[in-house]
Amino acid sequence: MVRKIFVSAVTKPEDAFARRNPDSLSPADRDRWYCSPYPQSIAYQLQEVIPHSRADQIRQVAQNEGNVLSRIKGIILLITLAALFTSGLAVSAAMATAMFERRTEVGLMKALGAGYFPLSMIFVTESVLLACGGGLVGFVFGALLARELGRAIFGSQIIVEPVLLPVILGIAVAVTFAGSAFAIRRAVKYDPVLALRGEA
Amino acid sequence: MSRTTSKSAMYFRMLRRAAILRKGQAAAALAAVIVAGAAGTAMLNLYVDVQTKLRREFRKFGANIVAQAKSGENFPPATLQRISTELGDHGLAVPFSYAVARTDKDQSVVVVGTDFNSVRQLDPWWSVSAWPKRAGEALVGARAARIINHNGQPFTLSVQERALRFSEAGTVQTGAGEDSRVYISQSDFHEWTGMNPSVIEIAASGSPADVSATIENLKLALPDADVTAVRQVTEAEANLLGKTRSTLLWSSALIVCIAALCVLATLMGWVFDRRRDFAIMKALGASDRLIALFVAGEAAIMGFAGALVGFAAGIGIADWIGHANF
Repeated sequence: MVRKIFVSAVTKPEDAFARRNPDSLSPADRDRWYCSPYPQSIAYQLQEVIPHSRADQIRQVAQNEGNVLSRIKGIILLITLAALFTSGLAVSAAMATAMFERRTEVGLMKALGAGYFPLSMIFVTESVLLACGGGLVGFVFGALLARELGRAIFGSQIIVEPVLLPVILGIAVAVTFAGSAFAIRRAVKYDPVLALRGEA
Repeated sequence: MSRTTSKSAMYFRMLRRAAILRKGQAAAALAAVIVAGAAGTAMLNLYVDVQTKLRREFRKFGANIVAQAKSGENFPPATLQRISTELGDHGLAVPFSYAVARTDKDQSVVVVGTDFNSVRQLDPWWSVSAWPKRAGEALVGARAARIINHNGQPFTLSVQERALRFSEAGTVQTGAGEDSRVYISQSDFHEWTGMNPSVIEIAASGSPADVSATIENLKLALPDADVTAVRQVTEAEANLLGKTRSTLLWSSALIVCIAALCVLATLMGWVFDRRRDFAIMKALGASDRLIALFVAGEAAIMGFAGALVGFAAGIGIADWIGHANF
């Protein structure tokens, strides 16, 4: 006869919502609670499947796991933000140099009558295209890097979700736009006369 | 002598004027160095700090060392004192004494004597409705409560024909063995059964090497006890810490690379911006070496000032992350 069963389940860290009593929740919330992998909801479902049983979470494992995991998740998120910020600055520096090198081109277009808005649109479009290309290459490169790191550190595959591609492209466009806005603004303000004579 | 003085004076004057005349670009280049310095400092700081912070998190898993008396024997009261002195402020030692008691309906239940204040620190995951505060109060495990079936009323337990009445202060739920026990204070337990603790659970802080050293010291100090590491906790800790650290190291390396790229692009732009200035210098007779020296001097000053400010900023950021995240 089996008296006790230990279950090892992959769970979501407990939060305030997890501690609610499912019988007092509204139907929509109850479904959300029921389908989230909280230790509580898994225990609840096990009790449903095995009549006359009692399922409890092993708090030493479940509680502390959630704690440690949320800390690590926080660090990774902050690092990601730091990486994005520095990338934005790097893009901004590179764009400033690129724009400065092209000031004769800007001067020529302005001398031929290009206005402030169409001129900036050209450069913005250019940087968006660059961002898409760079984002795509970066995505492939990053996916490979993540896979290698996953294998080296955790000994397991990190599965790269294709769903992330549009998100990455979006982030790349946003970072490039933020990074190059200043350089573009400066470029379209060049005086065509000075720029064409190479004196800007 | 005066010639060299005027030469170096000219050199510094050029450096100073270059920074003043092109304030905007100089500030941008300096900002890039500051960002790189701050990113590097924050990341490396975090890399070192995360280990300490996560170790503290891991101490919430409870004891990582257990000292057990030889079977059937107890620790004399001085032992706990001895372990506590051995640990200093690098750990916490909590005594546990066990006895099997019978309820008035003649069912057996394990009674544990312990120090509630220490248990509270050692095992923060215990879900306790209310901790006992006075003598004669007991903390009843969720499953034990169903065995005793006292409905919150005071109940009687007897050990070796000595009955004692307890009132329930609260219940404890952990999902493990604790649920089927009744916890009372060590002084109540000693008065009741005359027994001393047979198990001392220890949460020692520090690196795996520190913990092993603590175990060795305790083994020497307590020759009649069985001192072992709780491998479930220590192994998981070492494993996770190592992995987090390597992840952090790699991402730090990546961020520092990006920051270096940023500095490279900015400095290149700055030098490119001033190619006319360099042309004039050369036309006036400056050698390639002098110009290289000039740019190197600029980069050195900028690197030094930027690194200093960046270092301070990075420490601030790392501190903030430490507070915000932990």
